[in-house]
Amino acid sequence: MSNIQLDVKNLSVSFSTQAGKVHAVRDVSFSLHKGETLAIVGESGSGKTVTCRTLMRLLSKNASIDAGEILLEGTDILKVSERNMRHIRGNDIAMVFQDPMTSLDPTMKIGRQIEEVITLHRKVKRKEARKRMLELLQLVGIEDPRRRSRQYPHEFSGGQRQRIVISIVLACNPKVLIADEPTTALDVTMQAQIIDLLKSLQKKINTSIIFITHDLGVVANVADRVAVMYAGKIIEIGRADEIFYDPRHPYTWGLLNSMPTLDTSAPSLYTIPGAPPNLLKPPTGDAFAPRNEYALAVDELYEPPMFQISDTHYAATWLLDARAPKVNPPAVLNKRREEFIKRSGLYAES
Amino acid sequence: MQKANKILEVEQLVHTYDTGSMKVNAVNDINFYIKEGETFGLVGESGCGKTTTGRMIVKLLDITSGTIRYKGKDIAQIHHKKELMKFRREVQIIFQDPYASLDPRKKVRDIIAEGLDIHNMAASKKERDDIVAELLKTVGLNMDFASRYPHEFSGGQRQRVGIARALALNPQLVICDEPISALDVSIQAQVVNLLKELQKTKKLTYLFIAHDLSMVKYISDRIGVMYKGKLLEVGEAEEVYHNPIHPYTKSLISAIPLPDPYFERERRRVSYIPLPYREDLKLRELKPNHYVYCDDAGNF
Amino acid sequence: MNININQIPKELFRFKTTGQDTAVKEEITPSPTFLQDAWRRLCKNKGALASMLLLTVIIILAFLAPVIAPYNPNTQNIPHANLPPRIPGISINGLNGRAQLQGKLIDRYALAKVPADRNYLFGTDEFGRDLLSRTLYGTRISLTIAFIAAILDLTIGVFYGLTSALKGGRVDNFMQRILEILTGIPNLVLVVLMLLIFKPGILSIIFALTISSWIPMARIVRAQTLRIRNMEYVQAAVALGSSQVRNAISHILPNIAGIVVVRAMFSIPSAIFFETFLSFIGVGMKIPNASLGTLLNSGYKMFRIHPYQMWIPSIILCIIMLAFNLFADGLRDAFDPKMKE
Repeated sequence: MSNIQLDVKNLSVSFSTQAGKVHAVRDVSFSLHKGETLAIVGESGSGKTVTCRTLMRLLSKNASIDAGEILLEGTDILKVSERNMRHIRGNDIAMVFQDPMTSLDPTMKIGRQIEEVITLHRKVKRKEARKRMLELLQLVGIEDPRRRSRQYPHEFSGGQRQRIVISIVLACNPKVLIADEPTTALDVTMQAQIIDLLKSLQKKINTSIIFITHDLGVVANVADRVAVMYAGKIIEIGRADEIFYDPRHPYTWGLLNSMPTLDTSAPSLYTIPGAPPNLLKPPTGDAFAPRNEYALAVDELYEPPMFQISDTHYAATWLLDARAPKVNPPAVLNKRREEFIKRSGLYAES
Repeated sequence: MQKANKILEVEQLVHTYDTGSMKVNAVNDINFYIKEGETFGLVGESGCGKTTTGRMIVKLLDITSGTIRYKGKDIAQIHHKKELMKFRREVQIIFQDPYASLDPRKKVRDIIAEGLDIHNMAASKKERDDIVAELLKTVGLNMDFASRYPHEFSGGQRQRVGIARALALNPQLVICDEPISALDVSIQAQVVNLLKELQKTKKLTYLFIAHDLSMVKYISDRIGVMYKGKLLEVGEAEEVYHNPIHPYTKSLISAIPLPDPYFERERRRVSYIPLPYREDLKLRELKPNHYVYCDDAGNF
Repeated sequence: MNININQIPKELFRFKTTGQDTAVKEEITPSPTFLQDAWRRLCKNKGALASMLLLTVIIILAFLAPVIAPYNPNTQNIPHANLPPRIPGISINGLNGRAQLQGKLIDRYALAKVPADRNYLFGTDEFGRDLLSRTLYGTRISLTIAFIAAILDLTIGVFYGLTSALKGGRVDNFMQRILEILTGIPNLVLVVLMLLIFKPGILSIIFALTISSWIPMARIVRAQTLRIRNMEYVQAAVALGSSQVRNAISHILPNIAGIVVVRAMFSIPSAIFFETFLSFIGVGMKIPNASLGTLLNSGYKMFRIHPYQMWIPSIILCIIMLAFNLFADGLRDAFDPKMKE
């Protein structure tokens, strides 16, 4: 399995707060292949951001990693010293945040900021760093890089700032890039451009990307594989086609179903009733059960294990157990699936 | 629908911000109207002036030039206290950020009843509590929530409180300023459904401001597309989405992300490069009820 | 957790019976209100908590002065002048009525023929007045002045800041220029001039203290008001038809209260210090009334001969200053944890 870049095994993270222990990430396992994009989808509080901050070892003081290991090409980065971790951050794993201003120094010209990163990571001369900086700006689509490199972050628009952050990340040439909702603050056209940029760069330098978002539309565009998180757990993981055209978990159904498309004209949208559970006291059994219209009696007593659907597709719901009653996904999703099979002819029913 | 009265008319509306060093036209000469009982969607990227427009309509911001007429009356001319209070009762606003729009030091009961207090609409404490309980029920919240503070609620619940506050005065026109953008996907649908249901039962007219195009398309009867302070295209929702005319609208619609990987892989996006400003550009009716910002010859 | 899937009884694989649990209740976790949260944070801060207790004790003692003071603070008793402290039951030199006189340690009480049951716990001053009583009364005066000054600060500052921010435009501009002019006048010169015109005493000291110390408060209130005025909840109130006065009272004031209270707490020790300073240089409280400043003033003259006359008010002053500062610091952190660092 040399194809695996990053392997997360049984990761559990909790935060101690005044009210008690919040179990933000509960027994999460996934692997990231070389050169692929894995999207982690979930609502706020589902643990997606905490998972990724753990990968960078950038957790707040009151967090504790209760269990698990994170293997980056075989070494467990949870056991690495803070000193070596600093070397790993940037060189091996880099992160792009939602708000580009958090990663840019407002008082420094952007050219200098990029050069600084280049000289920090590779021992090169100033002149060479400058040349590389201009190349990078060109690469991320900043026009007239020579002039613009002498400007300050506030002179750029939100989309351009995100491009600059991406160019800084590129300067380190990381093996894994974590993008935490990098397009959420941007409007649709800019969003599409940034995503295209990430995709084209990925092809060039063959980085693996973990893309965190709550927007399923964006996921459909970027992801090779998708992990759906709910209440601190991965409840379904699989190839993008499998998640979008053959979802098995009722929560995934709900998410896909509640998003209107341009053709939706139903008098009301499908909704998942209720709100996510409180992770101070995670429920016994399936955390999604109280909001699940297909909930089984067993959901209240036992947590569902990951059922395997195909080589790449897993979902944690008791509906997949042989003894469970047969349930059909909502009609809209079935329609989409049939259309897809008609259009592509590639995807045979499993 | 065709015969319905225009409840709101916006003509040549301009709002200018003075940044000190220069003047910026946040809203630059826009024209549109809203018919009674319909939902008018206003879409555009952040900073295009859609929020400014909404705030001018509820008189939270001053109009630099142009007119906004509510039920045929110029709202800039509403000075008399009694008239202003009537306007405040009839035109309400729901805000984007459910965390910033509720006073953290007030209980939910007092937040919802604020309008009642201002307009002396509750004769007794008992009546006030009853109205609040009724409103909570209307927006789908439990009555026990009345004596709690906003920070104890989730985003979706807070947004419901914001809606209840706006509804307390029995308004006719409600400006929904990005009411769902700050909410989670599974909660967005809940709030949109609530808004639609309230529109039906309370005969509300909405101005729905948002940047999520598929949601706007879903909830709106007619749509206006804004870009850098200008209104570029106005028309029936179906028409604008399926037969967009202005290149900016085309580029926006071509970029809407859809939860369909196959479609995403195949899609081709249209990019939009704005032309320099010309005198003869204005909103023209190219098809019945479909207005586009262009010149005489139909160039953009 | 490690249950065998196959052992789960088959009957459980049926849909949950509808009706009982399907009515989805959105659960709310009760979380503390702002004040509860602030109180909790304050209790965690040991220094602030100790200061608060200490201040409470000092304040109670000072304001109970007429009840607990053993002697009249202003009654002179020349034969008993300059007696060192004598605390019954303690035989440490300095606290047992003995003092150096011409190189020899002698019992001053015996020398002055003080009855055995008459003890001056803090000693007496050059006129034979009981220093304990004078310290109690002096602290009371100093605290009163500081509290009144802080309340005036608060009222004027909050009113001025609110008006300036809410009126805006030209009014704001004008009011801010006035502030700048006032800041430009040297405080001490103003105070000394004023005390030359008015009779020295509590009122004139309070007036002198207030004349310039409300300016920072006004500035803070103005800045905070400008911030909160643009919050969406205030905008929502305006859209509901709320007037500006109503906004100020029902939204802005409650939301800036924390910052204002903290600022006022910090102004108390500086008022005490300023009062002490004025009295010390002789333009403050008029004789024979005691304040911490006048006690220090008369004490320092005797420092070489009767050091306790200066030590005692100095220590009290230090304790009060330190406690107020620590407490205000703790309050600030409690109200706004982000302001720390």
